[in-house]
Parts: sequence; structure tokens; C-alpha cells
Amino acid sequence: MMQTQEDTREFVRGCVRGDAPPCAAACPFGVDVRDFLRKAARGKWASAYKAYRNAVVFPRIVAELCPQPCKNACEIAERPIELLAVENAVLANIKKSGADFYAVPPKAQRVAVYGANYAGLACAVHLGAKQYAVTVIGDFEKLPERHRSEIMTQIGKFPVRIEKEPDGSRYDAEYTAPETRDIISDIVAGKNEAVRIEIFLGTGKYPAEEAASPYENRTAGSPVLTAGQATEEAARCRMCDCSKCFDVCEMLRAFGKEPKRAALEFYTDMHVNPPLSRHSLTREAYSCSGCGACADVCPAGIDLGKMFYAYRKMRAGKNNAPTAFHDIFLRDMEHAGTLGAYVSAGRGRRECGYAFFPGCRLGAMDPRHVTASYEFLDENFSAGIILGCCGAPAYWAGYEESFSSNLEKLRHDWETIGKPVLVLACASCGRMLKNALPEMQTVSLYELLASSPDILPQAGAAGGRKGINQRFPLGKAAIFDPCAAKHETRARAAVRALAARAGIGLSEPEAPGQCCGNGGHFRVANPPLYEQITESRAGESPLPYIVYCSNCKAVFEERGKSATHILDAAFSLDTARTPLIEETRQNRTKAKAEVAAYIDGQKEAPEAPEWDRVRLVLEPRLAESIDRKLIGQDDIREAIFFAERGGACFEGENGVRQCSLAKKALTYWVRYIRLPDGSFEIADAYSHRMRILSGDSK
Amino acid sequence: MSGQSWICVKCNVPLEPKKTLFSYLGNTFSHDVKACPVCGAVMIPQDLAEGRMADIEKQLEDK
Repeated sequence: MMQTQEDTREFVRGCVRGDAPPCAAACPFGVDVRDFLRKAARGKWASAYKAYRNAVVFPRIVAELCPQPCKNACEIAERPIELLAVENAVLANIKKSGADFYAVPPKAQRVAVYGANYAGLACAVHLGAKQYAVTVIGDFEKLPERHRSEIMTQIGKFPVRIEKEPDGSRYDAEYTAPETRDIISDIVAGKNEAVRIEIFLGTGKYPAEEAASPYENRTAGSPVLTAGQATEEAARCRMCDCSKCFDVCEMLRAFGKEPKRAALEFYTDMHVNPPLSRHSLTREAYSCSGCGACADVCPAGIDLGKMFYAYRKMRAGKNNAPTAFHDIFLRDMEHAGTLGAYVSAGRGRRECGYAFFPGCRLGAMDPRHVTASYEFLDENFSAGIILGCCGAPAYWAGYEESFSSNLEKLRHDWETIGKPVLVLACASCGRMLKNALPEMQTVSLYELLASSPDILPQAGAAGGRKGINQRFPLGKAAIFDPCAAKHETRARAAVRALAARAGIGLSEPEAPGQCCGNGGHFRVANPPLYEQITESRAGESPLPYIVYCSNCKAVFEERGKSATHILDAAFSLDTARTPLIEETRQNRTKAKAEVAAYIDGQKEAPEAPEWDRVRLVLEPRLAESIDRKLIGQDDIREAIFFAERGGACFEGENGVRQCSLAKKALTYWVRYIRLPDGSFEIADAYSHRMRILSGDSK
Repeated sequence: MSGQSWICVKCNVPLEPKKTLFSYLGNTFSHDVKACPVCGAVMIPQDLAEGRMADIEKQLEDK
């Protein structure tokens, strides 16, 4: 957990995004090459000149002598950018050379520079530009005429005097300028010294000299470019900057924030106190899917997802997390852990070597996926079963306490039935458990299915179990691996083997393991990004998808993209219609009731709340539109149930009624008409996140 | 929707505009909405919830 500024800095250590590109790092003057070339590419000669001059002090001297270390460093190795040629073209095309003079008030301090050489004069010009009165003492005339001319041009109106002999005045700072054979090094030394002198004059402290970075002394020719050629050459620059994480992540691109800045904002947000001050990183931190793509490509191995999750934890810890972002998912987790929960070592067993852990979504999407898989596991592996949730929704919301109490319950259930190997259907469960409960052994359901000759037996193979040996009626499909299975090579191979046995011609994804849009549960926090990502994932292939994650399936089908779960193929099931929110909860309790009936032999109706009896009439399109607002029909039933039993309820013209239901993070509203047969026709439903504190001053 | 006249079913009286306090993410503010003058129950119309309220919620989440 990040606590201090040092922690947040440490987290992004090694990130070079925004740092100097290789060419600028190789340049002894540290010319901002990208900035210079951007200006040159637009033909902005004056501003390109200014950028160059500010870095090298004497452009016409440096351009004459520059050994071009940038050329060797250029990433376009086959044809490096001719930076020097562009610099020369800039010098040839500017209308006015020399320094800009700003009306800065003159400084009272005086500086003496001993040595009218390149180092001394570079130091003098740099200080003169800051309006320090500088006296350079030495024999200026010994420099070549063309160099003297350039130096005088750069001195311009600055308060710099050149004297042959010292006149005995007192100075606030004195500098004896070195004179080597390398004019470039001398200019660099003089310029750097000017910076130190300025610090000394301002603070009274003289900073230590930093070792000059060595540069390669390469003498290479440089072509002469016309203005047009120079802009073309400048435009050829790739503007090198590390963008590996941005290249693989729509979210990072959408926000465009440098990772180092995000880390800084994490730190400042820790100390924000709303409404007096505001957070900076909220929306971005809650928009991350945690797919890990950034960490996979980062040369420094930085996992920005981890930082964003630490951020959510920090906000939850401070009790100012935007609770509405994750509410619907947390309610689902709670349902899976209560009404949907079940644990057994299996029929007639107290302990088991394997136990099926389908996770909270498999049965919610299609209860047959749980029951068929469990029957297979019971018959082949004498498996038990744990119905519940791995805690991913709490983890993604940043709710540490809820995450660990869920894990404790899971660990307890697991111990009760003899610490079996957990058979997982969901790669996200696998990722959560691997990190949080590494002592638990897990195996993918798909591996076990693929290892069984009974599942989708090959043509000519003997027998095969009833109902599971039909050919699956899907010719060609594209496989979509869930993000959490990116590194699960065995599960991935098993799913492909199952698809092949089902006779499906699979096409492989170009970039496997991208998040479908469900990861990290950022849908509520960032609806436009959710739209963008789900649309882009659904469009990766024109073929229908084969998936092995119920969330991927739900995401794609909501977009109208056909997505078939590999379990439908394995068990030759007709692909079920995507359930509405309320139906997912009903499916979950149905799966539980059926598993319990299979194991205990007792048929009990799935548990259902009282308001389940409230009958609704909804146009299918309205039902879908309400579902997309993430409002479940069970909440609509509950609202009407209480309103019709004396709760707050309003009636408008034509008998339209309106009532509400305040849940933990959201308040739901329903508009409806009472029908003569005792059912309720729904006109619409909506929600808001604000709390109504008071409306009753009476 | 918000334009038409509404009554409180429980108290059988027409709703009247009332200054109402709202809170979100530690911020509190007030707005005139229709409420029952007897029991105080507040009614939020759909255009308000999905319009102005949603905008303010988003602004506050970004703070």
C-alpha cells in the first residue's frame, strides 16, 4: 500500500515516459530535439532558432563544430535524422540572429569571468541574459573572427563587458574559465557554470559540479538542406518517447496522463479533503480494467493497474469512495455469498479431493453450466462443490475488508470439505485466488473436460455419454480469451482442444487476452470508455466468438455480438438468451437449488424474497433499456411491493403512480400503472446517486 | 412528468414545491422539488434524476 510520496515515486521508478529521447540524452547540451524539430517541421524558423540557441549558447559556433552524437543515438538506425543539417537550415533561414532582450530589472550582483575564451563567454552570455553585470577578462582577439562575430551577436544588449586586464573591482562571484582543445566541451562547461553561479548568487550556496556526460566525438558530414528539405527532414522524426503502455491501453490514451504524473496525483489525493480541495485521479483510477497489458509491455515492469487498485483501496479506506461505481457488482457478490451460497463435499461424502468452484457468474448466466459441469466432475472426480464468489467485485471496488472476509469464508468452506483442489470455470477467480490464497491448489475446468474422452468424443470413438457427444452446430468462430487467462496456457490450450473436438474452426485473436470491458468493473465509472472498449473488442473479428468467461459472453451479447460459451459446445447445450439482471440472480439460486437437489436428493424451490410475487408487465424493449441502466426488475418489484403496502407513493393524472426504493448507494424510482388483474405495468425506471437528506421540515 | 399534478397516495394531498436537502460524497446542497406537505415524502421526477442530478453527481465524483 502506498503511504508516502516516496512510495508513489518508487512505484513508477524506471518509467521513462516524458523523459529525454535517446538523441537529446546523447547531446552534451541536452537540446530538446523533439521541440526543435516540431518547430522546424512547421517552418517556424525563429522559434526553432530560439530553442536551439537557448540550449547551445552560440548556435553558429556549435553548428560548425558539432560532432553529432545524436545521429548515432537516433532510433531510425537505417537513416538517422540529419539534425545538424536541419539546424544549419534554420540558421540559414532566420531573419534575425541573436539573443532576445527582455526588460528584466538589472541585478545588483557583479560577476568576473577570467578567460575571454569559449567557456568564459558562454558563461557570461548566460548570466548576462539574466541581467547580471558580467566582466570578462582576457584576450578576446585571439578567437577567430567569425566566432567573435557570433559571440558579439549573442551578447547583444546584455550587460557583458570584455576587458583585457582586471581593473581591481570587487565581484560577488568569480569564475576562471577552462580552456581545452574541445570547444564544444568548453561551451557546455561555461553554460553549466553559469547555472551554478546563479544558484550561488541567489542562495549563498555553491552547488557541486556534476560530472559532464561524455559524448561521442563523431565527425560525420552533414548535407546542406533547403528550407523545404529541412522541414521534410524534421517531420521525419518519430518524436521518440516511451509509449508502450499507452499503445496497448485505450484507457491510458483516453486520459493521456503520464504515469509519473498519475503517481504524483495519487500522493496528493491521499491528502485531499473534499469539499475544500479536490481529487485529481478519481475517474482514471476507477476506469482501469486491471487487465495487466501495461505491465506486460513496460520495460520497467510497472503495473499501473496495481497503482489504480491501491488508489481505490485508499479511497475506500478514507471512506470517500464513489460507492455508486461498484454498487451493482457488490450487490451481486453479496447475493452469491448469501442466497446463492452452498458448500458440499458431494453426494454421501464428507471430504473430497476436488471441488467445483464456478464463481458467482457462471450459474447466473446459465445455471446449466453449473449443473452439467458439476455432474461431470462428480462422476469423474468425485468432486464436491462450493458456490460463492472469489471476491473480485470487492477487490475491484477497493473494499479490502469485504474482500478478506469473503476469502476467510471461502477458506473455511474449503477446509470443511478437506482442502480439495478447486476446479475453476472463471479465469478471474483463478487470478484472485492465486494472489490471495496461494495455498489453494486450483485447476481449470476446461483442462479436466479436455482430458476426458467422454466429452465431445472424436468420430469413431466408442460410446460417449448421452447428450454430450453431439457435434456443435458452429462452423467457424473466433476465440476470445478472457484477460485473466492471458498467462493460463493450459486452460487456453484446453479450450481450443474442446472447440476443435466440437468441430469448430477457430481463428486466433491478433492480440489475445484483452479485457472485454468487464474487468475492473469500470462500466459505471466510465460509460463512454466502456462503450468504446466493448465496441472495439466486439469488432476484433467478424466471426462469432467462442468464450470461456461468462462476463465476456454477457458483454458481447449485450452489444449484439454472438458469443458462445465453450461449455455449450462441451455439453451440446443450446445457447441460452442473455439473462436480465433479475434473471441472473434467479439463475444463481436456481443453480444452487438444483445442485442441492442432485447432492441431497431433496427438491426445494429456490429461495425467493416476498416481492417476487409482485407481477410486472414490461415491453421487452423497455425491459432491456431498464436493464442497461443497471436497474434490476427485482428492485422494481421491491419498490412497488412496499409502495403498495402503505409506503411513500405518488399518483399523477391518469392513475400513473411513482415510488422509490433507497438502497445502499442508489435510489431507484419506478413509474407504473396498476392493472385490474393485480399486476403492474411499468412505464419506466431510473435511479440517482444523491441521497435525499430531508424534505420534511414540518 | 414533472409538469403534471401529483398527489401523495398516503396523505391524499397535492404535492407542493419544497426546498430539499441532498447529499453526495460529503457535499450537501438544496434544491426545490415536489414533496407532500403532510408527510414530507419527496418526489424526484425522471428528467431531474437523469438530467441535472446526474450532471452534478458526475461533477462531484471528479472532485
